[in-house]
This record gives sequence, C-alpha cells and structure tokens, in this order.
Amino acid sequence: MLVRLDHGSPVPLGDQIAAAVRGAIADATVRPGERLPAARALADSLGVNVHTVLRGYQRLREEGLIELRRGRGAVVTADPAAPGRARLTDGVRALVADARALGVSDEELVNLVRGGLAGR
Amino acid sequence: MTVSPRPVSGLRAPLVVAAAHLLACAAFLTAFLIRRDGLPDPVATHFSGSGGADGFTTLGAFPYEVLGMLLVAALLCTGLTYATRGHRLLAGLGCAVAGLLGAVAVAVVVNNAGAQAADGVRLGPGALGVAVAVGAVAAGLGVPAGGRGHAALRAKAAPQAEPDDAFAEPAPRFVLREGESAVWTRGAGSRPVLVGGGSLLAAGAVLTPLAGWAAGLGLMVGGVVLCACFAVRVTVDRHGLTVNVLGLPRPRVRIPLDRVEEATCRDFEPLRDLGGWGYRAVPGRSGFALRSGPAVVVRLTTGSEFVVTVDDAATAAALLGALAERERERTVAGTTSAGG
Repeated sequence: MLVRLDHGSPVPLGDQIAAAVRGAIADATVRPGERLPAARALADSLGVNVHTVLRGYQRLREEGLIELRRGRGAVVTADPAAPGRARLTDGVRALVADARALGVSDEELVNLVRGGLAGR
Repeated sequence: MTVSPRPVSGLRAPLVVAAAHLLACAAFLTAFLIRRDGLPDPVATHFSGSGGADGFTTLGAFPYEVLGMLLVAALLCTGLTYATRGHRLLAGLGCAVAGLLGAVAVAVVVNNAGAQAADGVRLGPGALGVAVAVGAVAAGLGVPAGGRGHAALRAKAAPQAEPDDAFAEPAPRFVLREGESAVWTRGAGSRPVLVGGGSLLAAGAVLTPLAGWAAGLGLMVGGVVLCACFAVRVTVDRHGLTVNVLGLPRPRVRIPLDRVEEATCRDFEPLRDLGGWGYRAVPGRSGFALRSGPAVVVRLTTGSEFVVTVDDAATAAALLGALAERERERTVAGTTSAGG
C-alpha cells in the first residue's frame, strides 16, 4: 500500500490518505479482512498528526470499506465485494471531480445520475 | 546472463557427507552381520564414564536403533551442509560425525561380541579415542573431497559477485515532489509457517493445563518465535526501511535512510541466497527470507546487503531509493550551507 501526501495540495491530507487506502483496497493490494497499519504508525511515517490519519480512516469507515474497532485497529471489511465497492466510490469521486471541472452544478449532476439509473 | 557452476559445487559437499554416513552404516551392518552369533541378548548399548555398561537393548531392536540413530545424524549433517551450500566447516563436521558414530557403533558390536554377558561389556576411553581419531581422519578426507564449497559461499555472499547482479533489475525511478511525504507498507508472511506456529501455540495451550506449564511453555515460546519470524510488516518511509514483527511497534529491524546505498528489487531464493528461511544472516548479507520470489535488496553503505522478501517489492525499492537520494541531497545541501 502506497500513500503519497502532497502537503501543498488543496485536498485535505485526511482525504488524500483515504484516497490512497481506497485505491489499495480497489486493486487488492490490501485484501478483505486484512489489517491496516496502525493510525499512530502511519502518522509517524508520514509526519502528520495521528488525528489526520484517523480522519481518513473515519471517511473509509463511513464508506463501508473498513471497520474501526477499539483495540483492534482498522481492518478492511471482510466482504469480498470490498474491492468493487472501493472502485465504485473511486468512480463516484472521479465523476464529481469531472462535473466540478466542467462547471456542472450538483443539482444537474444528481439529475444526470437519476437519468442514468432510470435508463435501465 | 552468466550461468554459474554453483549447482555442481553446491551438491558435491552434501553428497560427500551423505556418502560418509552411508559408509558408517555399512561398516556397522558388516560388523553386526559377521559377529551376530556372538552377541549377547540384551546387548549393552550405553556406557558410563568409567566404561562399564549401564544401558541395554534387546538383540532384535539393536540394529534398528543404531541404524535409526545413524540415519538421523546423516539427514541432519547432509541437510546442514546442503543448506549452507557446502560450507567447508560443516562438510568436515558432517564427515567427522559419520566417522565417530560409525567407529562407536562398530566398537559396540565388537565389544559386545567378545563378552559372555552384557553386564561385562566395557567401552572405555580407549575405544572413544579410536573413534575420535576415525572421525578426524574422515573430516580430513571429507573436506578436500567436498570441493571449494566455502569459496562458492564467499563469492555468493559478497554483494559484488557478478552472477547475482545479473538478476538484479534497476528499480523504476520514483519521483518525489518537493514537500511530498510518502509511505509504502505491506504485510508479509508465510501461511504454512504461520499455521505451524499457530498449531504449536495451540498445542502448548492445551498441554499447559494437562501436563503443567513447564511442558507447554516450550511449545508456546517456539510458536511465538516461529510466528514472529514469519508475520512481519515491511514499511518504507522517511525513517528508512523498517520490518516490524507481529504488527507490534517492537521488536523491529530498521535500516535508516543514511545507511542505504542503493535499493533494488530481485528474485530471491531463501535456501540459495540466505541459507534458509526466517530472519537470518550470512557473511555480507542478512534479512528476512519468508518465501521465494521478489525481494527488496538494500545495499548498505557498509557494503553488505539487507534483504526482505515481500510482494510489490519493486515499488518499495523504488520509493526507498528515492527517499535515500533525497536524504543525501539534503545532507549535502546542509553541509555546504553550514560550510559557507
């Protein structure tokens, strides 16, 4: 699992961490059920505050990709579909980024997605 | 790519050691078959310091026991010689053990055959002296017969050896942007060994209440050590290359960035390159050999190598190389600005 942090980027560091871990889950570098490095260790490696890493982990937990348990640390969801879900979330993020870059409003984008969902 | 003659010299010494042990077995069998009728039942098989017999075996079991012991020694010595790629010392030791055991086995047969009852059999320091002499002669014959195994080992262990470098591929360049921090981390392990370690732990846990903690403790310690050597997390970050054991902060092995000369990714063969599996060291090289396959190979500023077998080793080696380079540039910049 490779995490690269660009301290000059406008993207929050926690989100950068979440994106890197999500990518690792998506390409099965980190397998379902596998334990992620401890937040403290990762923070020390990257030279950031432990809360920054925990923010990233928290985001992944909200996406249903990892489980955070007291004492056990962060573990990738044992669901074999986790890599697929990670890819899906990645795709949604790319979609949002594309829409923003094109100046498409959130409302329009949601309508586009609704249309796509209704199409099948 | 250079084809090294290693497989020949690597097998020669173990074969010599195995032959020495087979000779010992043959010598014992010959003596046993010739003197069989003269042997008492039971046979004296264990002797006290003064030479008197104090342990006995039935005549029926005697040859099997001796052959079993000789075969275990043969397997142990041959395996060790093979694992160290024909180390001269171990090849010599293997032959010496064969000579010693063979001589003792023959002496036991001969002395038993000469006695009326097993109680009267003696095996004194004289017989032991003869056995040691036979062992020394066997070692003297075995070392030259084993060939230049040690030379091959030296060439192998030295990181400058050409045949090895032919397999090393330069890691792809990894470009670190200014002010970027990066970490690469991955778990590495060997499932069969972990299962083995886990079963040892379980066996110890079961034995402790049944047979007392003294019986279970050894098994449990063995299980923990086995698991510790084969469940590691490899991390490359601003501190260098770190190998943590069992997912714990310590114990760990860390190679700081300023000790990294060059990092490459290479196909690694634990038995051939490091003499076995686990956390090991041979002259000029140390590291974690958990499986065959890609490994991060770090050439240290001291000239020796540190190895850890891990998946996606190419990325790890590339990042480590880039981090070490950045560290060097920083150090150089630091010294020039300090000097100026």
